Amino acid sequence: MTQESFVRTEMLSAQPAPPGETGVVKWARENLFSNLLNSLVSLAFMAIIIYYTIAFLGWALQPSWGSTSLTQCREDPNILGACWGVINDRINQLMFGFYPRDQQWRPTLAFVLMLVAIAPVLFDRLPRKLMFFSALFPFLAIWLLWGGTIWAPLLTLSGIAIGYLVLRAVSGIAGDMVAMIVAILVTILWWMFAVSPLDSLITKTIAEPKIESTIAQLEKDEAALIANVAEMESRIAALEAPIAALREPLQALETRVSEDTAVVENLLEELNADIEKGGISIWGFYLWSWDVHSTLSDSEVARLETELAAAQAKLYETRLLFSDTSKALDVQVRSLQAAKTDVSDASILLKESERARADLGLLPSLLESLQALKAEKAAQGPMLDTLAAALPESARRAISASDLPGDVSDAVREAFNAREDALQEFSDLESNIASTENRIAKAYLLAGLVGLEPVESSKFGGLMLSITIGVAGIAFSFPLGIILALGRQSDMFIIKTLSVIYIEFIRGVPLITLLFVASVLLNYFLPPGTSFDLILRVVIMVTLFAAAYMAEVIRGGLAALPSGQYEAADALGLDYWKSMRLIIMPQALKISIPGIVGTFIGLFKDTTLVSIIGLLDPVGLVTSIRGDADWNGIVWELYAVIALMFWVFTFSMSRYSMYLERKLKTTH
Amino acid sequence: MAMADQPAGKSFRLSMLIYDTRYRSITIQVVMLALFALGVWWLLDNMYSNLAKIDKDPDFSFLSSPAGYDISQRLIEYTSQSSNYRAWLVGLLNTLLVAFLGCILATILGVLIGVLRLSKNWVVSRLMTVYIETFRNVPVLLWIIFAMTIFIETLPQPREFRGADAAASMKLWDTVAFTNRGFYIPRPEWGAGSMVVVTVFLLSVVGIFVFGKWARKRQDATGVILPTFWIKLGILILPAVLAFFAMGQPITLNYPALKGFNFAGGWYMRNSLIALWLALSLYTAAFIAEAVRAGIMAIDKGQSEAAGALGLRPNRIMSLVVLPQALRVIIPPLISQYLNLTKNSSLAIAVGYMDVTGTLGGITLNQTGRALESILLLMITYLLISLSISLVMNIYNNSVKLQER
Repeated sequence: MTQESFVRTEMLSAQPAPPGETGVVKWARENLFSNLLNSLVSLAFMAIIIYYTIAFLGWALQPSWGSTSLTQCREDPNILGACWGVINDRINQLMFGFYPRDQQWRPTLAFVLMLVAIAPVLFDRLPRKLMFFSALFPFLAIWLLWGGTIWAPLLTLSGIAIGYLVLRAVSGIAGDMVAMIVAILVTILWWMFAVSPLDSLITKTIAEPKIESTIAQLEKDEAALIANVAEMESRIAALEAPIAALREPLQALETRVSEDTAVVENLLEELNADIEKGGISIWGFYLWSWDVHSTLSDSEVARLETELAAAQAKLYETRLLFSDTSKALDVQVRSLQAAKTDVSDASILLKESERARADLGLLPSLLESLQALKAEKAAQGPMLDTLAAALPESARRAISASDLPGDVSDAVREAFNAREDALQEFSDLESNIASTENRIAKAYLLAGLVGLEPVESSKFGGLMLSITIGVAGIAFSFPLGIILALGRQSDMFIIKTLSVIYIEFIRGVPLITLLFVASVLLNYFLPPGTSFDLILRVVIMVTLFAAAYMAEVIRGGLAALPSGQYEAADALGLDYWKSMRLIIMPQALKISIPGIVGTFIGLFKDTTLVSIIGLLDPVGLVTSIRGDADWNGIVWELYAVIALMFWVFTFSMSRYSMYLERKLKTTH
Repeated sequence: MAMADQPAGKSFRLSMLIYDTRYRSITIQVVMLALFALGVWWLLDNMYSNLAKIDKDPDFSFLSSPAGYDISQRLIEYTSQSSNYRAWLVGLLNTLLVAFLGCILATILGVLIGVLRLSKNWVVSRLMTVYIETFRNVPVLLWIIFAMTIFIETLPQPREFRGADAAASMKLWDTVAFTNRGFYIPRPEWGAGSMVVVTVFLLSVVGIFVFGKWARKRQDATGVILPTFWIKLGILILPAVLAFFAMGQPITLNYPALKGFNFAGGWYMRNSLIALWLALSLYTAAFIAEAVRAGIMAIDKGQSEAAGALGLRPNRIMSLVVLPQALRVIIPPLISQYLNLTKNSSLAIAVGYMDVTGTLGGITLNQTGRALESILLLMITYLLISLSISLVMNIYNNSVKLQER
């Protein structure tokens, strides 16, 4: 009503906030310097972090990537810390173990294909058709890594196809459940009894026409190798002269270095003998200390220090010269050693090729002798039985002559010894047969190999071994864990008891005892005469171990599900497996993702334990690298790199788990 | 309309065993039991025939034969002529020792780091994150070997403590020595009358609990709050100290001293024990810190806001409102981390510490060749330890379980 009132007609535009309330300054004030204690703590921690980071970088950033031995690192005056030459030298071994160099493209390819195979499982934006490749990948990976004929994985895959065909055929006749059981039985029987013989049969059929040509090829290769060896030996002779020429000046330089070092050390002693330690200490620990000169005057100290600086500069130059000369000598020595190793490798190859060629040539006679041995074994069987029947009951069970009860007659003793001899002959016969069969199989493989060169498990090592065991363990323990979790909370008493006993037993023992079982005991539980690959045994044990932990995690997820979900599934008329597949499991797995990925990460870290039972994973390789004369005494660089390798993998897994949780989050 | 059950009176057909839900579960259980029994029989049969071939029937008599090797780290009397059974016992006590020490240090460190991780100060919380991520993502075997290497490579040798111009010196007024072979610390000597002091100390621990109960009852009845922390501290310390001086100082300290090239006297803590203890504690502390953080974050923010609205200060909010509820969430994973620590202590053979895996599963196994029996006993040992710890956890869980419908 009056004229003092004022009404705006347009809004004022927003002003920018005062400088202390926006951006970095505001964040710093709130998070770092909100009150006095906070500010002091922030400054103290930042100072500590900066100090230790600078110290660490000072140690780590050294131009030592090209060094070829630890002694060379220590002698080079430019290198004052880490000797990264060991990584440069041994990166191949840390990655692949003792896998043959020319075949290392295979594990690399398998790793890349693994990333491709996992991608559609992890990220659902990718096309679903890629999952076919993921299903195919295990067979492909095993074939790539271990090599061998291409028929083995193809026959295994065909077993699955045969099972599927049987399923379709039988389910028309007898119903779903019976069909499933029959199909699984047929697949397992095919895998156990048909794959191996068919594989050898195919190889033999391919090999027989090619034996002559293989022998001729081997002869040609051997001739080439012999020529190669001759040329390498002449190269070795040529290298001796420059090495001798470099040794004398090196000696002279060494004496010069020790003289200059003595001068510097004398000066240092004079100066240090005079120093006392002063400082601030609490209970014997120095917080801050400094040096104090006691008898020398300041001018004398200055003079000594300038002398010391000059002597140190001279020593530095001499050492540089020495290290350059020693590097040159080292290069020559290394070429000589490389040439020598090449020669010995070539002669080993030559011997192997000669032996293989000989076996190929003898193939017909080997086959004949195998027949003869088998006939002999068949004849000896009944003879052993008659010998055993001739002994009295007490003597039959004795293990050796000393175990016989004291009151046996001489005739019985003689009969016992005769039986012992016959048993020994029999077992010799058996091993003879086994080795002949081995030679024949190898010869056929040599002539008729359609596939990749076989690589034995003992050559596996390094990061490749860790990833293989880890991925295999993760892949197999996940379904097994789901089944165990369902079994543990089942209503059926027997299944529940068996699951509980299994889970509690495995979770109560450390993994190292299970690995001991794998390396020592598992062979006892298999039929006499068979033996599994060590890596396969380790993968089995690691899978069994991880499955128990996975079962507990999934059980937690199942328990967190409201019981209304189960009831609703029943109300919809879904049977047990359908309700699990469509309703319960998706929710339970989503809830337990952190636990599942945590179990995977733990499994991957636990693969380092195989170094204790003798497999050469990176931790186990450290001992062998340190045993080399060049790298004797190196410590921190190796462990830092191995720790970094593991950290990269496990950190990516935990970041993926956080991404997955965010993506699947349906609550606030 | 599909019928799940047959009407009463229908005759029994064999296919009903699979398709009729009344009989199906029994069929499945019978089949599973039969398969399981078959599998076990097959494994045992193979085992017996394999063992018979190499003349090694299962036999536990090796436990009473002399062990034939020395164990330097031991808590009870043991010589190389003691039985393998005693070697097993020595190893078990070593395992329990490192597990006990590790659990204590891991809990203290883990709780501290977990709480600091939630601090408002950005530097502190990020630093704790770096610690947790570093220690969680690197295998524990690597940390154990790392710790051992640090001790061996950076600490001085005992003989460097010699001479007037020694390169290394003892700390804490010359009472402790850190060498690359181990730590030498003073050892208490129990003189006459020390039992009285110990009894008084134990009684004062009991007295603390009694006083706490009494103070709480008094607070409930009258509303008077006593400074319980200082009174409890006083009860803990004063009677024991008075008894100590009253009995004429019966407990003295035996200090380590350099004799010749080595230290004598005092307590010798081997570097393998210290390295194992440190590595296991630092590794497990990272996991415990995450469990503590998860527990505290699981408590609704509304609880602390409501407590603030009631006028409680931040430290009382934490101790009276948040922590009691958080403990229910924290303790189960905490106890399973204790279990993990105990099982991870089996990696002691990587640093030469003689725990039960090293004695029974290592040297005894190699020397007697009794692989099956040794590994079986080893597994049973760890199983018993794990089951007892799990039992404790189950008892705690049942006592604090929320009653649901």
